[in-house]
Amino acid sequence: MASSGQTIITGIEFGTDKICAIHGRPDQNGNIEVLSFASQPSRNSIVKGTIVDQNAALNILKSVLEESEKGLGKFSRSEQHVYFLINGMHVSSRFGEGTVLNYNGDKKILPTHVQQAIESAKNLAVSTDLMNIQIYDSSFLLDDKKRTFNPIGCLAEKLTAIIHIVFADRKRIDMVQTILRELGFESGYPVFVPFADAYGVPTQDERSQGTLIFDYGAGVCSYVLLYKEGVHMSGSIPVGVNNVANDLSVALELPYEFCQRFLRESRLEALRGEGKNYVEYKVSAGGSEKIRRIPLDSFEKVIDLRQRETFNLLKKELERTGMITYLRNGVVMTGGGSLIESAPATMANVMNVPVRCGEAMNVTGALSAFRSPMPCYSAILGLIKHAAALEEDSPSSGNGLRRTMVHATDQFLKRMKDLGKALKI
Amino acid sequence: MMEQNANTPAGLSRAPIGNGKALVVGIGGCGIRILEFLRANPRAKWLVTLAVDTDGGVLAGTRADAVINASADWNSKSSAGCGGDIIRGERAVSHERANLKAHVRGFSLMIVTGGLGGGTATGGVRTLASVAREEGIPTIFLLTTPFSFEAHSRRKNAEDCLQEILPVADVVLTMPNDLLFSTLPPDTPAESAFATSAHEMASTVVGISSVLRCRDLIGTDFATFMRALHKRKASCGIGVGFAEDSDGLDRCALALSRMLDSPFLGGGEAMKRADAAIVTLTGGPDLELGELKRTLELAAGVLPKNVELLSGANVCDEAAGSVQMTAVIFQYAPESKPAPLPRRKVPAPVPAVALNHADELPLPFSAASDNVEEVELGLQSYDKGVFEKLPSVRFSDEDLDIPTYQRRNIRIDKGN
Repeated sequence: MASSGQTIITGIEFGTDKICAIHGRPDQNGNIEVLSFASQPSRNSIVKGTIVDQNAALNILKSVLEESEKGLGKFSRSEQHVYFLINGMHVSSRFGEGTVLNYNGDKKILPTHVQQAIESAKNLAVSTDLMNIQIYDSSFLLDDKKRTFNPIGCLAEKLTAIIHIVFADRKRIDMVQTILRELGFESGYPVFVPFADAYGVPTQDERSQGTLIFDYGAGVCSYVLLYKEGVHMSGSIPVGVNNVANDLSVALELPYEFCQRFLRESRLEALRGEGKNYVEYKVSAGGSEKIRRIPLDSFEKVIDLRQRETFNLLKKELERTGMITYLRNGVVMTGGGSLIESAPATMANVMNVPVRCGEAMNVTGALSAFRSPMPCYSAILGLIKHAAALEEDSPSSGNGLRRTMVHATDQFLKRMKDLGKALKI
Repeated sequence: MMEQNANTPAGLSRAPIGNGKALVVGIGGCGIRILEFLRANPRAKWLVTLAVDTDGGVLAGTRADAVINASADWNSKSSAGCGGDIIRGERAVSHERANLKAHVRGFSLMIVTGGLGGGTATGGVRTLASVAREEGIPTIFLLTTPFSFEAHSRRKNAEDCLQEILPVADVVLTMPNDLLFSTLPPDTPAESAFATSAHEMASTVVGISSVLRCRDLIGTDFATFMRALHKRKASCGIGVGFAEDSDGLDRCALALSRMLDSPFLGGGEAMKRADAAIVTLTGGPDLELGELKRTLELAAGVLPKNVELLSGANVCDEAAGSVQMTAVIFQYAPESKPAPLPRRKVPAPVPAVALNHADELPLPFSAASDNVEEVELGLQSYDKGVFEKLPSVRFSDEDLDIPTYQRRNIRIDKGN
């Protein structure tokens, strides 16, 4: 049970596969203590990371929250800091560039210069349908020549901030805010899935050496490229594990649910381990039962084709933007799809860099509530870390943010941006 | 069914590549013919051979070190071949996956040879690529594609197979049999042409394996091949020339000239069109620096000036008293662009005007104008499964909810 006076962070995930809620808080060592967690299947209320049935999503979340709040004792939702994960093709990102001239006699760059440059970089002309949801440091240019990642203390007459701004469709964010308000929260703060992963999964070295964090989800794959602790690229690809299952189902004339289970339980590798060459599947036709034998190689072929295509799309995006040069350390793959045994090897083959499967690190507390393997929960655990980092950035440590939270969404988001500092991963 | 062939001279097998061993897998009828020529080649004695086929009759006469008789029928276990059916070939080879794994384990290089277009090799190479990847064995696929006079379906099968294995295999070198026309006179008997193809492939296997086996003076190794081929899709030609001290005074020049005459190189013209080339001289400890310099310079002279040339020189004790020139030339395919929709000629539309004014019409509308082209819309239907009723998700100009194998026109064995 949480003791009073401590900030409890609530995280919510509207995933294609599951809707979950988590309550947690950072401890003194910077680790995350999970206080409670609950999850339920999203039952087609969410497609490719986007809510398509608002009522169904609301009801599922209601039941999930009731379950997760049981262990928290006296708990008021309206006082909660709630963060939610967003994903899907409606999320996009752009670079903003802002310049400030340094008139100081000694030409030393001060934190105020950095802040002014970032403020100026935020002014991007975008459609009113889009909402700026988060800003992350990317890099700084000194006198248009030298690139640096920490300009404070450097000597320059001109400082240019290059920041990474994440946008999302305003209507979709509003839809989530409506759900949260109906459930008694004042408003929530959106975080794009790969950024939550970026707080929880990679090591400090990986963040600085050029690593792609790839969240292989059920409906959508999303990614963020980190280099020198700055964000260089982020985005989504509208396919996920469900597409692999669907390909298997169509190609091999098998039920979709069977194929989902086949992938989730790594049956391909298990059957190969048993020395089998085919899957036996019972079909009943006209009252009699027949056993179909489907070669395991056919499963492998269909899975490989889909995964290779997905990873090639990612590679093309990195090549198109020129960001592939920053991919020096490798790929950290997470999400439920990373549990498909062939996924990391195929990714390594396509991208030609080392690939590892990752899960959220430095997490303690009620971990027994997580019923699937931990990579499935990387984003929601990372969300708590991300939220903790955001709250640390608050100028008046908690109170300021708490005040902000009770305002309307736009004011809340404006206030968050007014904190004046782009987040460092 | 796997059997060890009793004809193998003990002790000759499993010679090292560096610290490892090399296995040559001949798959299908053509692959096994290549193995036969390989067994007859004294310079290939260090290579271990494995024959894989669905036809028990062909396997019965092979001198390969080991054989795998893959049955195309899971139930009857018959070994009467797969009748050119790719799905049956694929199923047969995949059924022997455990045997294949047991055979390839422990080797540090695998070379797979065969002729594409039929059933066993075309269907089975993907399984071999998958096994090699699972076991972490670098693998080179040396495959021939059918003569242009063979049935269109065979060439299409070969083309489809290549599309499938290119992404999953480490290195794929395909030799069009038509290259033989560049060196064989038209009156060559057909049987002899096929035998020449197999013989040249066997020489190529020896040439490539020697390049990778020996100690590098100027490095050309497996990674060089991977680097040259992973850039872009490429067609390639391979030439191998061998000469001994006893052949003449300038053995290197002789080896170079023999290499240029190799049928699978495609002649000097092919060299001039190359975008990239790997040229390697392999000799014994007696290889002299002057020889090395002169020969590699001569070889570079045959290639165009802007070619990306990767030269190498290797030395191994077994090659004492002889030299071997090996050239692999690559011609990169043009950047692939989305194929335009097929068009067909249709009569130009004629506006409805009184017939007596028809000759006054401007040219594009006159009855005498040429036919025009209109886009022929495909009638192929796709099954999107559970995504059928959802709005289509387009990304990079493709509807990604349509299963990948359908968009790529790849056959999948549904089993039985």
